[in-house]
This record gives sequence, structure tokens and C-alpha cells, in this order.
Amino acid sequence: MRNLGLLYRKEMRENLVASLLGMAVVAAGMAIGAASLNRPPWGVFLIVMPLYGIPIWYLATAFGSIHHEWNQHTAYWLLSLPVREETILLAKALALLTRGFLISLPAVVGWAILFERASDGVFFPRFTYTYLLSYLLTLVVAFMLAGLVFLASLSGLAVIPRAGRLAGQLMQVAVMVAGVWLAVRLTGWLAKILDFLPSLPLLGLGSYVLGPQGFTLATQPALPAGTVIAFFLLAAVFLWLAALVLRFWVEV
Amino acid sequence: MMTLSVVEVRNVSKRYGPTVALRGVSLELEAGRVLGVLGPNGSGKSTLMRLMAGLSQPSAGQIRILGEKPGPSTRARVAYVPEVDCLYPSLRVEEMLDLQARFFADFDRTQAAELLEFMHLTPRAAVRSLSKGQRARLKLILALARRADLILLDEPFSGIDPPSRERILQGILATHRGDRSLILSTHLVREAEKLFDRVVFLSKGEIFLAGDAEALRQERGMSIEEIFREEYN
Repeated sequence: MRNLGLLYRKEMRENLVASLLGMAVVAAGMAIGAASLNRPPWGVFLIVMPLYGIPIWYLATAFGSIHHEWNQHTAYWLLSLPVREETILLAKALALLTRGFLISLPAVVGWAILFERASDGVFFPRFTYTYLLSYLLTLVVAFMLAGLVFLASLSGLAVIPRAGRLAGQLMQVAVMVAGVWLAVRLTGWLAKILDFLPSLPLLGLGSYVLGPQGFTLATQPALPAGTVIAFFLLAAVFLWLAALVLRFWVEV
Repeated sequence: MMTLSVVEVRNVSKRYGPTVALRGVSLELEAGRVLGVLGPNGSGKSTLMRLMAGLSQPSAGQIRILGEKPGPSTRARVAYVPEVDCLYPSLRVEEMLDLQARFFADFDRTQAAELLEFMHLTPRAAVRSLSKGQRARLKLILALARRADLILLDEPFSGIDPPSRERILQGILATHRGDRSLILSTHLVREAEKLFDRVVFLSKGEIFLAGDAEALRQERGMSIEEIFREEYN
């Protein structure tokens, strides 16, 4: 736990400036968007942009957090620490979530204020719980995706010295595609096994993020707790596999 | 009385796809000795150092460091300085040292402070603002301030200006104690010759000459640097 905390702090310190800058950019975008809502399409575009931009940021940053260590050779220092590979990757995933939380915070607060204004004060009493729960659930999905991206990145890095850069890049794409397919299948399967667990009421909002079959656009009144647990389990499996690849196959 | 081997490398090979980086390398190092791993660029020195540091797995053969397979537990007792610049540019010198101190129980903060002064480095300086020579000195402090059983220095003089080389050599000499082992890989033999107890010469991933440094000098009637020049020219 101590090493996990140290590595987490190192990750946060290393990316402190970028995180603050990201927060400032999202906050500025939301403020400008809110101020120019009556001038379409820019106002709406700026307000909706984080909804698409932040997931892309998660994916790009997760890839970057692995490749950065290899590109700037800091992987030599990192891998010479008396720390298990699982701890290194878990610290990276937790730091990524924290940074994602910070960067998305201005958007989440901004959207809540806009919903509240648009609904004449009805939104908050009725949807506070659902809104917060949906936000937390996106973080759970981001955690699983971080594990998958780490696995794909490290699989690519393991292939590059043996078969070249192109083979490494193809390997990354293949692991990502297979991982997403597996995640959708396994989440549905695990959710069925865990269906004896109680469901979390959602009131329809936010259920587009998660469903019993993984990603689905169908709205539903409740989210099975088993689905959430399934995402956590998959995140753990992806991180563990990534750690195995790092320990046995990846070269610095 | 049996002498404990700090490093045992048995018939180790390392392949990267079709490329063979090391071929059937075997060596042993007893506690308190200094081994020079010598060879030109591309001879397999850095690959051998990475394997001993536990950063890479051999394709064949066996490595034992302090009696164990390289891994997290041996990394706690081995200080490794790679050839490449492995410092975080966004951190300050003191932050790098603090991180090292927190991860390694054998890190001596007093010695680190002395070495900083000796190596003419400022604790508050950002790593990204340091010159190549200064960064090489900082890497060395991270390793030499530890009371590690084994120190692995991979090409510590490579690409460094002569004054920095001299500082680095003085730093190694000042901190070397008889109870810890040191393996130093280099193709700049003159700078490090006085340190070596034993040497191995590598070429195309194979050891073709190995032995006690003093015995080799007497046998050939020349310095290790002269043997190096003769063998590789």
C-alpha cells in the first residue's frame, strides 16, 4: 500500500500542471458555451464537447501514460524499483481516474447548473442521486478501459523489439478490439450470474452509459449492481494481464 | 570458507526476434569485487546489465542475483544506473532524490547531500534544466547514495564531457566500499581501469576473454585499456 501511494503521488505530481491546465480549458469552454447558448451552434458545441472529448482524453492519456515512460526512458527507473508490476499499473490507473475526475469536474458541475436552470429548479431535488451515480459509473467504466488500454499498450511494446513497430501497432489494435468485444460479452454474462444482487435505481437517466449487456442505449429504471461489479472484475483482470505482460515480455 | 557469489550468470542468451544480443554468456562475481564489462557499442553490454537488473528476461539460461532470480526482492538490494537518461524532467533534483529515498530503505540522505555538493548540483534545480553531464551525475547519485549490495553502472561515462567524467569517477571511488560489489560496463576503459578487479570482454554477444584484471595485465604486459584496443582494432 505504501508503494502504491508513493507511485500514485509521483504520477499526480508529474501531471499536476497538465491536469490543472485541462481543468481550466474545460471550465473556460463551459463558461463560454453557457454565455453563448443563444448563438448556435458554438454555444451548444462547447457545452456538449466534454461529453465526447473526455472519453477520448481518457483513452489517449491511458495510452500516453505507458508510452511516455518508454519514450523518455523513465521506464528504466520505474522498473528498477522494488515494486510489483501490478502496483505500478494500479497507481497509474488510479492517477488517471483522479485526473479524469478533476478535468471532467467543471463540465459535470456546469451541466448540473444548466439542467437546473432549464428545469426551473426541478432537476436537483429529483435527479441529484441519479446524476452523481451516473458520473461515478462513468469512472468505473474508465477504470476498466484504463486496464484494457494498459494491456494493449504493453502487448504492443512487447512485440515491437521482436517483430517491429508495425507489428506492435497492429497488436495494440487487436488487443483493444478483442478486449472491448470480451468486455461486452463478459459483462453481460457476469451480470447474469450476479443478478441476485440488488439493483441501483436510476430513474432512466444515465442508463445509456451502462446496461446489463455492457454498453447499451436503452433506458431502464434501474442498474443491476452485478453489472458494476462485473466492470470492476474486468478492470482487475485487464490490469493483472497487463502486469504479466510487463513482467515477462516487455523490454525497456 | 565458501565465498558468496553476488552474481551468477549461467549460459545466458538473449534474442530479439531474429537478432541475437547475447549468446551463452556465463560469469560470476564474488561479494566486494569490481567487474568491468568491456566491449564496443552493440557488443551486448547493456543487454547483460538489464538482465542482471531484472528489467529483461533471458531467452535461455539462468541468472541469480544474491541467490535469487531477478525480481522485486533483488531490485531492493541492487542499484542500477542505465546508460540512458531515465530521470523525470518535470521533477526537481530534490524530488527525484526524495522519491528514491522513499522507495529504497538503504538510501542514505546524508550521503546524497554530500554527493550533491561534490557533484556540483543544486537541489532546487529542475531536472529538465540540467545539462547531459549534470543529469548523468544525478543518476549516479541516485545509485551511489544507496547502501546496496550490488551496483550496476551501465556506460556511466558515455557521451559525457571530460570534467563530468572525472567527477563521476571520483564519486564512484569515494563511495566504493569493500563490502559491496560493482559491475561497470564501458567502452571508455581508460577512465575506469583503476577500479577493476576482474574484467570480461564481450564481442557480438559472446565473452571471448575474461579474468583477473591484474593477472591479465601481467600475462599480456600491457594495461587493460591497451588489451581493449588490441582486441577491438
